[in-house]
Amino acid sequence: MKIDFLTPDAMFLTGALLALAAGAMLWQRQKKKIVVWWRLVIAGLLLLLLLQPSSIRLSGNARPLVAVACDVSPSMFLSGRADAVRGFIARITGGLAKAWDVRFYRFAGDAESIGDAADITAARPRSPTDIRRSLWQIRRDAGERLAGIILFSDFNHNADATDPHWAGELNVPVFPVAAGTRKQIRDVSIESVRVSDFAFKNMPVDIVVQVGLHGLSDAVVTLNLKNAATGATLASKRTQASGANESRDATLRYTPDANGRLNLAVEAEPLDGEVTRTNNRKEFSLDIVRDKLRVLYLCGQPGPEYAFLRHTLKNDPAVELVSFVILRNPENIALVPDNDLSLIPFPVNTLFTRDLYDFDALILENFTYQRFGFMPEYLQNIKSWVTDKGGGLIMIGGMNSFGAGGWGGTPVEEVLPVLLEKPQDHFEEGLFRPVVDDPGHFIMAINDDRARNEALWKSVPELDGCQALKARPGAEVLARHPWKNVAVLCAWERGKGRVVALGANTTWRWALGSSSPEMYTRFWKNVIRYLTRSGQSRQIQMMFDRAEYASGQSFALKIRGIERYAGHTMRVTMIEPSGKRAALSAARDGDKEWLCRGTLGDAGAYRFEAGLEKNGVPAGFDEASLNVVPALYSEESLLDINEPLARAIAGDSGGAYFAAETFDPVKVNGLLKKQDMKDTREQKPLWTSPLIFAILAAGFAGEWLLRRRIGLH
Amino acid sequence: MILLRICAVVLFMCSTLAAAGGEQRDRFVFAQLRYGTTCDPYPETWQDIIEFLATTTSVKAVAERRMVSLSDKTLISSPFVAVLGNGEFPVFSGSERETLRRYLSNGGLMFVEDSTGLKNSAFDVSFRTQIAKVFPEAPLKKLPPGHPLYRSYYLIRKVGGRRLNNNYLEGVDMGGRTALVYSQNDLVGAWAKDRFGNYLWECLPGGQEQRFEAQKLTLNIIMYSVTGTYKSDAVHRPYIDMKMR
Repeated sequence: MKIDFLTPDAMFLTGALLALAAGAMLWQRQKKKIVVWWRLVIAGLLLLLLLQPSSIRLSGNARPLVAVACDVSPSMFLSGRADAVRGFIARITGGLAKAWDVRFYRFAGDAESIGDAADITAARPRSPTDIRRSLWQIRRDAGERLAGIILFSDFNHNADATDPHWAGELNVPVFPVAAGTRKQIRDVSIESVRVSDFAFKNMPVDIVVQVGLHGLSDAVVTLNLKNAATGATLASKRTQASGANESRDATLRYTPDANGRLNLAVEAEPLDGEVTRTNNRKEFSLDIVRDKLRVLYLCGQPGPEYAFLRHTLKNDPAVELVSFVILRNPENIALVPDNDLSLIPFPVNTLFTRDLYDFDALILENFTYQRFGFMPEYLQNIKSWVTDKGGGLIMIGGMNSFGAGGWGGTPVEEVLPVLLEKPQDHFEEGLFRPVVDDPGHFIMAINDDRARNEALWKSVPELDGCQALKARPGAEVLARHPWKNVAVLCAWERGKGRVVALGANTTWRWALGSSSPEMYTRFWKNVIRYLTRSGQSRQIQMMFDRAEYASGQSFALKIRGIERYAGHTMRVTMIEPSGKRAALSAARDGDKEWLCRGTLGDAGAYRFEAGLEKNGVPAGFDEASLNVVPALYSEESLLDINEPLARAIAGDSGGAYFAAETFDPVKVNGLLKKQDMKDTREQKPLWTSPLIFAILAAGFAGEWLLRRRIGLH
Repeated sequence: MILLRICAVVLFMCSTLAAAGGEQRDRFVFAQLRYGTTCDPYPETWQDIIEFLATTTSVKAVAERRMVSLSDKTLISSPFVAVLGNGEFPVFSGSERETLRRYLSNGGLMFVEDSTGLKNSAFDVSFRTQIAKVFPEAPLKKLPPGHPLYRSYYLIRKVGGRRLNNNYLEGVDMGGRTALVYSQNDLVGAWAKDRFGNYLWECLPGGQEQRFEAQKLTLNIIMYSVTGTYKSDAVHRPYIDMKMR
């Protein structure tokens, strides 16, 4: 029990000072000290009333309330994790109860409070995991006393995409615990399919399939590429498991024989005893087009950038590459006769008077024209090829590029999006990770998932040195140096063509330093398609908020234009698998963007069309396809721990992540939400008590009687 | 006289450093895999290789050797790694196998050489066992005579080396390029010199001509790492075919 006051401290202080002053004056004036004392007691009582005293009875229980939540979604049972978690919780429950008030929950799509930990796996909800929704339900159910949530799950969150940092809003630390180890299951899964956005009629295209092989000893797995519509098998490949749990790539080669969009599926033939067959198939779309993009790549000096970029472009079925790299300079010594060298003459004359016009894009990497007998008209031809013929030019850095390559003052400089102020551009040495201000730009969209795209740019391997570029007015700076006022990547349109300037020629580090070269490949594909205005590089481009959707999920579709639009109308149509067309409303989301939201129905191949128009005149068009998987597809195909999400939840909420079987209650205890554990249980106001008023009344009456008896002086 | 020699050495080092600078940027780095105690049979030869490269080609190289292990962060800055050895090839752990696989799949090139100059040496047997575990689906294959590596700079008509164990190189192909090149002829051994600048080993059976072929092939392997399959492009074929006749 303790006494508390509701009146603010400042008022209390003021009242006390006034009472003291009045008391002092009274002391001097009043000779009868008993009256003074009497009045002071009454004044003190009045002051006490003004302070609104109340009595508080405190709880004797100082233990924090901790929620233990267990994921009981289908993926947890398929992988055998649910039973492992139940056993683990049963082992630790006794210890937890000694330190905390523990409340148990199970969840899949929604959280449910349960009395006994043994009942965790008593129910098996057939709904996709929604970790965010479940945690909020637990948060609300447990109330203010909740000091932390211990979360056992595989973290395969299969609900709508959300802000990845939502866990911080819970205002309570979450302690994700990886749910046990996966039991030795037998499973073949198609984890991902990597293929070019489009392929060419009568040209083979390689489809790289990442296959997950688990518990198969030496079984032979047959992979089939099928036409998703007809079921016809187009290509097959067999791969033998090694016995270990592994992911491996298998390449299926297929030669399309007709133009248009092709819906394909990769299937792994089911094996006996597989825990699930849902993940044995993945669908995707491929646009079959007629022609290739012709790219001319000139490089001043062999190096890793040339090797990596050339290989990437050579492997892109959409690109026909002609490249020249200068293998020997005049100052190099020839130790053998010319017939023993593989050198060929550099056909500068035919390239820049005739052949240039057959190309869609020109790459100049670390290349100076000054050494190769460039006539002035060749430089003029490059400029007019860009501005009049719509050619795409990219100049890549290096010690012989930009100003250092002598391009300043030439017609080529006039089309570059950067200023070449000095004959020898400054070069920034050292490793740096470029800052991408607009990850949504066509070139910078290296992942279809917006959040993942931004995260990728924040974690790409560092580049090594770059030319100190300064963007021209009107040019778009796509990437800049993190601590120098220097542009790294700029782009703009000149006449009918597009020009890009890239200050660094060490982007190969993005391939070699990443877990997969996919991001590097995508970046360069984007660059080529931007330069050539081909494929997705249209006036508008659609981007979904997730790479994969399940039936019944809602989606957010962003349509991005390459420039600002005023007075334009955006029309978006969704074509369902049944062929039914539905118009979607597109809301403006800035000068360049529109946002569409909707909900997906049955699983299957959806198509989206976006058309931009002004006063009835078309100004842009894009289309995209989306393969929607059944509602429980992810639950029945993702059987591994999603550790990045678990770590994000822990980091954002102020908790800690524990790998399977490493749960540490001591560490949890140190991170629990700090709050006054002697929490208020009952607060009773004293100043409203009639007894107080009776005492006051008696006091005033007594003082009146006293004055009557002894007089005022 | 000694003072004069010291001055000359300092002058050479300064000129080398001035030419190469300390930064890698986009330049070629001669990286070599560090493992066990038998990984560096020729600790000095890289200097001659780099000098030969810089003198005869337009490749700009860093004037230092980088020793890397599979767990080093600098591995991702080293698109070319030489692996030499005259003992047993190391047994890779699971994570090292994964690193090696990722390195080669992502664009790195590894030149592996059995420096013993012997057929079926301990290095050869253990290397083949290990590499079969790393790439169960992509076995070592002989590089055919028309392989772009034999044409990347010099037109190689005969394979050289300190010993002529094979008249071919072997390799592992990944995604349309050869990511790992394997030699049993001790190409790097053909470069080895003593402190007076004399070659350390005789090249058998072909002598100096065989040594020069080894040096040219070493250079071609490096050029292949920085140009890829460039010399298989259609634009080169008529010229190369004409020269090879």
